[in-house]
Amino acid sequence: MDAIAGGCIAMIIEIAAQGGIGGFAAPNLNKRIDVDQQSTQLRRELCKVFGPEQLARLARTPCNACADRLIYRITIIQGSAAPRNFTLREDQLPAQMLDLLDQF
Amino acid sequence: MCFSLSCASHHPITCIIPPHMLRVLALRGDESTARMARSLLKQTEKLRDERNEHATTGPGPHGDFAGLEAQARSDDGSLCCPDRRIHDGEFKAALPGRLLRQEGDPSAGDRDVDLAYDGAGDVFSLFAEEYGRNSLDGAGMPLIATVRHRRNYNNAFWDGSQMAYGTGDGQVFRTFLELSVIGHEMAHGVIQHSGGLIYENQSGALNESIADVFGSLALQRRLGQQVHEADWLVGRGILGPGINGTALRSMKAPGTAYADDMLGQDPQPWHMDQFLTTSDDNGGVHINSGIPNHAFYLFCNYVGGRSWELPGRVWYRALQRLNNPMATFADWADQTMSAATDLAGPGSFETVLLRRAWKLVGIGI
Repeated sequence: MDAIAGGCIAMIIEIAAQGGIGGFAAPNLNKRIDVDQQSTQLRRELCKVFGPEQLARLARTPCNACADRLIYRITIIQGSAAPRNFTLREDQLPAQMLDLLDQF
Repeated sequence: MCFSLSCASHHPITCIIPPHMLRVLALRGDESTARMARSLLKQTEKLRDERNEHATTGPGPHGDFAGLEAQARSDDGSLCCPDRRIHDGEFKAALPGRLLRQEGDPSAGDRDVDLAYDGAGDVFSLFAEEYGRNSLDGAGMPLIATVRHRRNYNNAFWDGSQMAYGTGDGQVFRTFLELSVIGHEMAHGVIQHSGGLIYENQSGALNESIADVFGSLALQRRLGQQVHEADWLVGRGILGPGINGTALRSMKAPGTAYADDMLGQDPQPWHMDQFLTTSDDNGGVHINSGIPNHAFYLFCNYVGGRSWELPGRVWYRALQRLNNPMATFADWADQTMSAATDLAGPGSFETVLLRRAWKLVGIGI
């Protein structure tokens, strides 16, 4: 019910990372999160921070210091709708969101 | 071309200045100009986002906006002492974390903390004693670092005000607390406070290369190495035990640092003929940096001796005089030639060798 209230029914989050000091793709940062399979608490948090509108807002944040930052390519697959793709640098993501990512 | 949403206001800057110039203004303008440029860039991004509402990619990389001052030297000349503050990130993303060791404290008995502390001291010493620079901003700013940033985090970075180091995941990376890496990250701070280089395409690759140069010089100076004794590797020993590679990059032989099933082949070129045009990695900033990296190596090799001395001084002086956040490789080569002429004299042996080094990587000056 929380997931439904959060507006992310059957949401899948795919995350690929590249960049950083090495400049290459970071293989351990390719993740696929099936939101429906998570605990209620986690599902609530994921729905809150990975909503497409929230990601679009974060993607507009100007870069203050871009050097060596990881770049995340995030795909949100929600029901039968077309996948939404976002490219965000790690400095555009709040610490709480990064901590959430690191749980997977 | 005007991307701004604010054209209706008829503000001349709003409608005339294209985004790449706005990035320069955001980086280099006075406080009010920089604020205005950031605001316009934000509007540009918003407009682009709205245009691409269903696009498959988000906005591209941006310039480095934080460096609003280019102070190279402290006014009071106090260069003696770093002000180091090393924090424990406790595997979380929030910075800076819990303070574990500050200036003058004895060893924390924590290997990561002590490596970050000692490394910051070595890099401070390079810039202060060799180039007369008081910390990263030239005005004695504290050297703040966080170790154990995030969980299994495969990266290290400078965030505009501090350094952060992950532990690595133990597979791809085993640590980031290696002196050339510490020097690389701190040099990004120096670059930011020396006028900045926009972090994309050739100027971004120069940003990366200059960070590699001073990272390598910090290590060579710490080890007391002559040019022929140095390995010219950046990040030696930080790759995981199963990775077929020795380092992140080789300045002596770009493209040979690793060749691994997971990471692929080190893509760095050493000559302009192999310059890679790509949209990945902010326009290949960690790739094409191999070209100016190799020019610096060649120059050092021709000159001989200690690379942090004349070659390092030439590169440092060029950085202070560049005054062009969008510099190309050719602009940078010209600037290093001016610096070498200032330091070694017009027509000197050293300027001839520098010209030869740039020519060998495909850049004529």
